[in-house]
Amino acid sequence: MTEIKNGHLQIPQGTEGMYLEEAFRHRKITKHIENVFTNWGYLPVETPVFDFFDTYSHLIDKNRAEQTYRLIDREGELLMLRSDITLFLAKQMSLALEEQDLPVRVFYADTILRYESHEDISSNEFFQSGCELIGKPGRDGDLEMILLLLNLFREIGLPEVKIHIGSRSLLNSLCTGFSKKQLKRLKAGIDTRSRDKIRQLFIETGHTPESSEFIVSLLMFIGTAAQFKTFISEHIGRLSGDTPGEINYLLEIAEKAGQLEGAESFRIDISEIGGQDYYTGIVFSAYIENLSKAAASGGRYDSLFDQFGYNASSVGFSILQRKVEPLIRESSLYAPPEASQREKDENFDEAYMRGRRLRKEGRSFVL
Amino acid sequence: MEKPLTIALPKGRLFDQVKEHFHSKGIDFEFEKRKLVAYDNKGLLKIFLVKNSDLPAYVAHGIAGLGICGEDVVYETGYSFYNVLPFTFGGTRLCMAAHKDHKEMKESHLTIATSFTDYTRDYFHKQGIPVKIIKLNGSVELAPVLGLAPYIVDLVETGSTLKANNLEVIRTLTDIKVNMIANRAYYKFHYEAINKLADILRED
Repeated sequence: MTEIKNGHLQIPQGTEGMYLEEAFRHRKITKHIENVFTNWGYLPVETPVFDFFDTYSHLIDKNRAEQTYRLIDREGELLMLRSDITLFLAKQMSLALEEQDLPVRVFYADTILRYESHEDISSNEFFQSGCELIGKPGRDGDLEMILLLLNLFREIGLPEVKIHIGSRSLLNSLCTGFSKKQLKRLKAGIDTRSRDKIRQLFIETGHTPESSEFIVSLLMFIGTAAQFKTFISEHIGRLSGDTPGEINYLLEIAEKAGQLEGAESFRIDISEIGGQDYYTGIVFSAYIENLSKAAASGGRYDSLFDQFGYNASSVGFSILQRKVEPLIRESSLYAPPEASQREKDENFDEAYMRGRRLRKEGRSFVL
Repeated sequence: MEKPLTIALPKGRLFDQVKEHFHSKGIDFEFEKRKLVAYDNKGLLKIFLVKNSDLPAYVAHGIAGLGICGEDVVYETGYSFYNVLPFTFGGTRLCMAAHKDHKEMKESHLTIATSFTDYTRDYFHKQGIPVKIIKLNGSVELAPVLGLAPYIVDLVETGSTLKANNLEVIRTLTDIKVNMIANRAYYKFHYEAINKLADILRED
C-alpha cells in the first residue's frame, strides 16, 4: 500500500465528500429544489469558484473574512474562494444585466468553501442552494420570496417550517445616530438576547428608561402578525420617525403571506436582523424542529448591486442544503431506485435484453 | 401533551444549586443511579446531566436546546447563545492572583497559569499587555507555589483555597454570572414554551 503522509487521510476543514446513496439523495434533493425554482420562473446561474478578494473585502465582516480561504495568483493578486454565493452572484449579474432585462429571476445550487473550526463542523455549510429576484422592489418582490421559501420547504417534505420575518430597515429606524461601535454593541445584544445590555445602550444614547424598555420589548418580539398588531397598538404613542412606516410594512407582508398560506407558518420576529450588513429591507429565516441552525435565510438588499456599478434592488435567500438533507433523508422521494438483478442462471445476453426492456419502462437493472 | 423541552445541566458545584432552585419553583427531578437522562415531575423537561465544560457543545449542536452554565464556560468554548434567563445563584469572580509576597506586577511581561486561556488572553490583549499563558486543567493554585508561573487566573468564590496556598487576589477580571442559555434555532422554534419555562424559573 502506498504510504500516505501522516494525517493526510483526513480532509481539511471546510469541505466534504459524499458517496453512493448519500450522493444520490443529495443530487435528487438538489434537482427537486431546482425544479421548484424553475416552476416559479427562475433560471440557473453558475458563479465562479474564485474571484478577486478586494472586490468583496468591504462587503464582508471580520468573521466572514476570517472564514474565507484566500490565495495569491501568479500575478500576485489576492483571490478568495467562493464562500458566499450571493456576493459572487451580485457582481456577475451586475456585469451581465441591462436595465431592460429586469426583473430577473435566478437560482443557484453550488458548493461553498469556507473555513470552519473543528468545533463547528456540525454546521455543514458546504452547499448552498437559493435564488434571487433582481429588479423587483417593494411588497410584491418581498412576498414572492417569502412564499417561495415556504412552498419550497413544503415541497421537499418539511411542511412544519416556520418563517421568521424581521426588518433591517426597522432596526435602522430605531438606532439613527448610533456610532459604528454602538451598532456593533446593539447587534451583539440582539444576537444573545441580552435585554439588559440593549436597555443600557439605549439609555446611554439619550432614551428614557421607559422608552428603552419599550425598544427592548420590540426588538425581542416574536409572535404572529395578530399578536404583533396588539403589541404595537398598546405602544403606539412611543413610535416615532420612520419606525411606524417600517412596522406597518412588516405587518402588511406578514398578514398577506398568512392570508395566502396560513398564519401559523409565519412569525414576526424583530430580532431577525440579517447576518450581513448589506441587507436593507426585510430579512427572514426558516426554522425547522431538530435543526440546530436556521435552515435558510435571506432578505432584501437594495444597494449591493450598486457596489458593482449596477443599480437594481434585489431580494433572495439561500438554504443550507446539507444541513437540511438529514431531515428528509428517509423520504421515498429521494431514495435510490430498487434495481432488478441478473439471475444466477441467466446468461449475459438474456440479462442484457431484459435490462434493456426494463430500462425502457423506467426501471433500473443491474447486469 | 407537548413534547418536553431539552435542557443540559452541569455536573459539579452548580448542579445542587440548580436542582434546589428548580425545586423551589415546583420542578423536581431525580437521576436514577448512573443514568444521565431524567424527566421532571411536570413533564416540562427532558434533562441531560453533562460535564460542565462540555455543556455548551451539547447546546450548540442542538442535542439539548437549553442549558444552564456560567459565562466563563461559554466564553472559553467560543460558542454564542441566547441568554434566556440570568440567575443570581452560582455567580463567582474570575480573578488574577499571586503569592502574598509577590513583587509589584510588571505589565510588560506576564506569565499566567490558567484554565481560562481565551478570556485571560483577550482581557490582557485588550489592555495592550502581552501575556504568556500556561494552560492548566485544574489545581491552578499550585502554579505559583511550585514556581510554574508567578500569576494565576482562576474562579474565586470565598477565597479560602487561595488563602490556604498563601495567595491573594490582585485583580478581578470579571464577575461571572450563571444563565439559562438557548440554542438560537431551538429558541426560535420553541420560543413560547421556553418563555413560559423562563417565567416559572425567574427568581423572585
